[in-house]
Amino acid sequence: MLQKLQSIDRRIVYLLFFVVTAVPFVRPVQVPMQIAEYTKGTYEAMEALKPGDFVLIDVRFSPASAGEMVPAYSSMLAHLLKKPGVRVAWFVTSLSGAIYADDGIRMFEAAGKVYGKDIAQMGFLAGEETAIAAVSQDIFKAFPSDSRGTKSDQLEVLKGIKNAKDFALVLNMSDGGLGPLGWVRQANMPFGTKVISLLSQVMVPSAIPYYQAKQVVGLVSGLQGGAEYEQMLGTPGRGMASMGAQTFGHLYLVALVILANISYLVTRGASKGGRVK
Amino acid sequence: MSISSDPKAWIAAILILCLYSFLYKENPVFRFAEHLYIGIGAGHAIAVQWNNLKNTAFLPLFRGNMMMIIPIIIGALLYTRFSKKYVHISRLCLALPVGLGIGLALRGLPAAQILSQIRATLVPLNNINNFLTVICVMGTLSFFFFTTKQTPVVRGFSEVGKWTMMVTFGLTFATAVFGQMAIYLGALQRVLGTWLGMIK
Repeated sequence: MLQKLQSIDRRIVYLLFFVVTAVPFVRPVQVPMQIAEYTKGTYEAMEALKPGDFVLIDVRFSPASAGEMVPAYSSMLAHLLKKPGVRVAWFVTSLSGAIYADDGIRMFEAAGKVYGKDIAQMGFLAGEETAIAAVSQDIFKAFPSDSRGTKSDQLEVLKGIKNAKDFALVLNMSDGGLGPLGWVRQANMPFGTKVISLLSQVMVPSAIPYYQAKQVVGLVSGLQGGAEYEQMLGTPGRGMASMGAQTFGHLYLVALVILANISYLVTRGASKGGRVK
Repeated sequence: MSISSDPKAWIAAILILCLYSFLYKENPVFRFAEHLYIGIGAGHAIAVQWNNLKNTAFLPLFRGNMMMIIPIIIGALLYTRFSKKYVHISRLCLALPVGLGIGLALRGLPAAQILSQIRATLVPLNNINNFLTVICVMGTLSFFFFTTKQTPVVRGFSEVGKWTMMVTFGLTFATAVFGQMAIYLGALQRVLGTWLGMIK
């Protein structure tokens, strides 16, 4: 029996995984969810924004991780939309980040925000930390014009803004690279700018020290963070819908790991003189 | 169940299925989707890079900022790496952004990654979390003391450090699996929800 398990066709493992994760989508299952302290920190920092505040969003994720990042990204944008008079500008530090910055612009325009007055997309700047340093020191020098070719000094959304000291909040949305570190080094430490990071889950453990040292005021951890954010915002969406499937998927993987180890230990015992039944 | 009539949903779902068909076995449909993804990615990257060059270098130059000639020339000289005779020029030009990057990182590093982290570790030992933080940091640091005599105390601490690192690596691996599953769930939602309309 255990030997059969060890030689099971991998396609059966995949098929079972599909069934285990697809069923909770079609027949939703409520799973208990705890909201992480750092997600609460993000929510509170966003909630504290006042009319006239300027928020800079740095988009650094790609379509490959959209499934993980977009639910939280959309929720955070929805939260910003709830804050009247907050000015928002996007800037992009990864090539495909422009897709999601433009999505954000469309979402804000659909909600009645005016491009140039309330929102702007500054475009892509190469170099990640070098780009962050340039934007932190002088946004007009870093971006003489926005992604649509309008001169930056003609954008009302940037009125009164010069360097990172004037940013009420920086939202760093990252699925790789430096994560919040570039912003911590170039904006938080020299200018005291508040930084929030939406990160892919694999990056979160390495970012927690910056949260504990209060260099980052909040973190959002991929899909799980998206679900937590949707719950706090009171608008269930793709994040919360995925939690049942994710829980059952994890249980399935844990069961496989346990089974594989038991099978390995027993057959190893058999090879040392024991018998496998 | 109401199947979407949006052609974008159809294209996305079919390409997702093409890519996941690899789990059954390598096949031409998978290779088609793979090449399409790479091609579109490369095309998009070129378009974004060109737009970046246009907005940050060429437009300011045409508007009268003659200083922009310097970075444009330095950037263009990077391509001398394709010439055996002039390859040294590209190295000089490459040294500039490399040096700039290192300088910028070093400027922020001591305050951001050393002093602030030490300050965050100096916590009162009044709860289990703080206690574990201090012990695990000390243990991990002592694991890398190669110049100190390995007394039983140092060995004990470095053992704690070893376990701390093992737990951290396990956590990192688990979150990597977690992240990959989130990407898969996004694709599943697109197929079952956006395309087939099976998710309410």
